[in-house]
Amino acid sequence: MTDRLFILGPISAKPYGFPDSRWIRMPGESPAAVAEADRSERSWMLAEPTATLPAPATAKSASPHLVALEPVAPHRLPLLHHLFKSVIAGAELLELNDLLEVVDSPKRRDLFIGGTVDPDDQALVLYRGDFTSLLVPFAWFESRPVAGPPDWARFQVTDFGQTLRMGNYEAATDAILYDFDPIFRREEKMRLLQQDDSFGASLRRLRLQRGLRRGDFPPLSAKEVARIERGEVRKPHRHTLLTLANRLGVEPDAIAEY
Amino acid sequence: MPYELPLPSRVRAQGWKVKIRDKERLEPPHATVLKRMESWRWDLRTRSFMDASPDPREVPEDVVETIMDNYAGLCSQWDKMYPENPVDGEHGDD
Repeated sequence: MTDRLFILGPISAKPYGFPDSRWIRMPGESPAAVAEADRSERSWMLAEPTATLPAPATAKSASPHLVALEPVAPHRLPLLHHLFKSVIAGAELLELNDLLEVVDSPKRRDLFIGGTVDPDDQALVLYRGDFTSLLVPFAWFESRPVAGPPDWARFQVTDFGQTLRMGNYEAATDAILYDFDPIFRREEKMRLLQQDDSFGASLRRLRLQRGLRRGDFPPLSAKEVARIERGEVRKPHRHTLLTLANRLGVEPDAIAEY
Repeated sequence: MPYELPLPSRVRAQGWKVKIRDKERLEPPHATVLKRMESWRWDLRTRSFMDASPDPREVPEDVVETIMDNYAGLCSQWDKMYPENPVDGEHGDD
């Protein structure tokens, strides 16, 4: 985990595992221990929702993220937003141990740890494992033949953040990210291209590996190279293959091996 | 309502699940194998895993065999849930 986490919740919550993390429980810890934890790179604090919170010694950008497991009084929210890098409060969350595993995972950005349903604005705010949020309108979750419409009153995050459940309706996290996060979509596209074993995909991989642009293959035009990469040219002409291979520094037959 | 394929108790106890959820990515018809934070998509048209990563070899043989044994049932569930994109619709053109 790269960020520290401050959890507001019942102090009796006993997360298991995470042996290399330092757990601070408030009230109960000495002010010195709390101050030490605040400076540590990896410490997770757990405090009762009503605990008096110490002002962190660090700047807000270096302060922990806060996740509230239980409702927080509205008058405390401005203070929490002032003290913490980000605040997730009033959300439906993953079970605590699952949540901690997700925020500790390298895949945390692609998994949801919770969400807040806003029926007035017909929108769902989803929280990712890196504590960023994503807004998804209800309209995206259209009624399905078997499940019918989602039941927003029964919203849950499940499967370690890979699935959203709304009563009888389940939606895949990657389906949401694919539609609402351009970075995720780009990465998925790159991954698919990596898996594509067509001649065009091999040519593209090798060209990028060589740091060349499509216009770097005269007398072939960039448009022509793009058509080959997209598989629109079934069988490139021998001269075309030679031009490509010469510029790429390989034998014509070797292009497909990349 | 999502469909969850019943799995042998040993792999179920290890946290393995096979699901078709109500809102999946627009892809060829598939079932999703889930375990904790990982997932593998299994293409119902080609009867094989769709993605090279995570490595499909991580999925236990019991899970793959159960999918194969229940292939017709999975296809029928998919067709009920996604009548606009049936398994027999566009063989491998996606």
